[in-house]
Amino acid sequence: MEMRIETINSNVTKIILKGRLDVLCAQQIEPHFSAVVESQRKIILGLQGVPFLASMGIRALIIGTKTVKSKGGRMALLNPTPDVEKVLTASGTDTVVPIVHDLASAIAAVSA
Amino acid sequence: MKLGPETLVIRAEIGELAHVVEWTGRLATTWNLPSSTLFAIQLCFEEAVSNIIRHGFADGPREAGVNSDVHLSAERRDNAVAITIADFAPAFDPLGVVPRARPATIQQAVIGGHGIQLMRRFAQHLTYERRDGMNRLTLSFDLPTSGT
Repeated sequence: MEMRIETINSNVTKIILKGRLDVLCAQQIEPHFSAVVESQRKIILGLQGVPFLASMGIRALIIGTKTVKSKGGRMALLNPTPDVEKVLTASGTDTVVPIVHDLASAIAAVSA
Repeated sequence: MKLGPETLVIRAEIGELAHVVEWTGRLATTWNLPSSTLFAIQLCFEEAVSNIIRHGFADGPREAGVNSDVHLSAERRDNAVAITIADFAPAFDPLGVVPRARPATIQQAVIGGHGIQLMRRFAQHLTYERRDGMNRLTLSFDLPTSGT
């Protein structure tokens, strides 16, 4: 699992994940992901490069979202694959973190 | 047409799931399965095995004094793939767990506990039985009619 960080419009942070978010890999990125969500308030999580998502990945997403929201911030999930989006909706994650399919919508979702 | 069953025995340890990913990937290639079917199978295996490790052997298999092997099998029929996860942990029927309501707010969102919900969503048929001292969970995945 790889994680890359980009800054958009000087105050929006885009975290780009690449790799499987399964029980084996989700724990590897958790400390790095936690560091970003602790310090940033407008976070877009790019999921286009994530071909698989299971419970441990959902756990990381929800913990991250709770952290961001507790500090008055927002997170949005950008471009999950159809199967990954099905996991997000089946788990109810989509009701607490918006799923968007283009960058402009993602920026709007975290800037509202 | 019937292919398999193919079987894999792993220990009830998280690291063993890497073998499951590799094994199911090979099956998907051999059986010409759609990518969405492979996704569903890998997801359900991961959730089922993770639950066995986390709950079935919560005190550790050595302390529990039971066999910690998890037996996985997969079989392809004309229009479906069936997988079975069998273990020697104490009796537990995951299909008896009441589905959780969707959270309305982030405060209501629960960290963890989504495995059974995901299996219900991604598999078309689920059955459980306790037989010969083992929990046996079988899930079936319908194949697209063009996927033969």
